[in-house]
Amino acid sequence: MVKAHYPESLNEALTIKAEKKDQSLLVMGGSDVMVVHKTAPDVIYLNSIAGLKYVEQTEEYLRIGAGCTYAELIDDELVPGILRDTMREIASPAIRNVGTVVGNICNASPAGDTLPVLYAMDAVVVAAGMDDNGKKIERRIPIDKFILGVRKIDLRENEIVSAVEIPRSSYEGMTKLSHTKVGARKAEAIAKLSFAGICKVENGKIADIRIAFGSVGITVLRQRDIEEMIAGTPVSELEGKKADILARYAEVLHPISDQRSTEGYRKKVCLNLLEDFLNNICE
Amino acid sequence: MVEFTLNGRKIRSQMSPDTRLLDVLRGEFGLTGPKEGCGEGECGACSVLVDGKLFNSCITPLANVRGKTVVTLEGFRDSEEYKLLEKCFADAGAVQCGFCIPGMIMASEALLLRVPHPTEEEIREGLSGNLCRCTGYNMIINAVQMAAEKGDGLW
Ligand SMILES: Cc1cc2nc3c(=O)[nH]c(=O)nc-3n(C[C@H](O)[C@H](O)[C@H](O)COP(=O)(O)OP(=O)(O)OC[C@H]3O[C@@H](n4cnc5c(N)ncnc54)[C@H](O)[C@@H]3O)c2cc1C
Ligand code: FES
Ligand code: FES
Repeated sequence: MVKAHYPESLNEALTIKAEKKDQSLLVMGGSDVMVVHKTAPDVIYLNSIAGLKYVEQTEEYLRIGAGCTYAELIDDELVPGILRDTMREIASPAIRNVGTVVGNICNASPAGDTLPVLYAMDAVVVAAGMDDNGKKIERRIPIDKFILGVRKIDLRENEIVSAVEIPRSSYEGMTKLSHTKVGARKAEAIAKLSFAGICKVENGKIADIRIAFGSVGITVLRQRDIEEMIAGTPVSELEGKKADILARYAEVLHPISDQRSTEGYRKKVCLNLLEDFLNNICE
Repeated sequence: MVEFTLNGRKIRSQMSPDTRLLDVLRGEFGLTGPKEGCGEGECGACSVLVDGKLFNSCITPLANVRGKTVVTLEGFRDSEEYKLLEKCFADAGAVQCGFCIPGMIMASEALLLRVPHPTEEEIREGLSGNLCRCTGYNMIINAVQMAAEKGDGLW
């Protein structure tokens, strides 16, 4: 029998984690953990920590507590529409009642559905830990630094992710926000590929553009160099630049073939979705 | 030991906290309403309500229902809502082999609790985590539509 822990506060959970370290497993909704039958001598069940169930706004950030399920976030109007739409397409009602965004991030699957949108929004992961004197410390890690590879994350053995923060400037005032998941069915489908694009047009120019692709590699693909090249372009000149932009992405997109899809299909559809997004900006 | 409320009774499970809720319900408490189809959260045959929300018991660790209220088909059987759903499923011809039906009924109940008068689209969405290998779904959708109409005020 495993030793189960039911901390009621983050501090209590951090104290247990600091003691048990990598001998312990963290479980929130359990929708990933249970499928792969992950276990450890000590299991820390986080879902009774009421203090991790919150959505709040500061001047700069929207902060989503680690305990928030998809179903709760879909109903929360503070959460950006593009993220809520993305979550509506995840799995099924029963999974959305237990699955969490933070679980999705920490699971670090290349097909994690919230990841492209979170990358495009420059989301920041908040990792909390307890030092040797029992003092709580927090690290803030940009999502593209936090996710290191397939199921690999930058989380230390005494840490728990307490929240994810989304800069409000990454979605407020944006003129075009678009997300597409390509799967075999409407429900219960792991993405063959997915696309997130966010753009701000100001005074006839592209002031800000973010483009992310999911399920095409070990982690989400976002190319800041190409985005920077596009930024500043007058919308009237975008049509003329389109072929060059698509060619640049074609060079960096190297998806794999697996049981869900082929390399050729993935690449083609990624580029089609990108082209469609660019066309929509021009309109 | 994990305590929770099961079909209206406060109970204690002796099983390990990381056991699947499905195994606790079937193995320890003899409740066979929840069935095992896929065992991976994909088919909904093991559906139960936890604090009124639809859960797949095959991927819910026992620990995650500690202090909560779990309702299986057995605990819901004597309600007016159940009787109406049962009649509508029968009248619509929505049952063939029957294996998916307990899960379908739980998912219908969870949906109607949230949305008493769902559109067809909302019904399809509400049942999207429940697979049926026999009926082709349309009769099941009809049954839920029928229940929502006839059960005006029940949910
Ligand atoms: C049938 C089915 C369908 C699914 N469909 C989809 C889908 O369409 N798209 C998709 O993206 N995913 C899907 N998933 C995967 C899963 O539901 C999501 O990844 C979900 O977001 C995981 O959240 P959770 O709280 O259940 O995670 P858990 O299983 O509790 O945890 C996942 C991982 O994160 C760690 N973890 C959890 N919380 C924390 C924390 N606070 N701090 C540090 N580490 C933590 C755990 O240790 C574990 O390694 C599906 C799963 C199933 C079973
Ligand atoms: S047996 Fe639980 S969802 Fe299939
Ligand atoms: S009636 Fe046979 S699986 Fe649905």
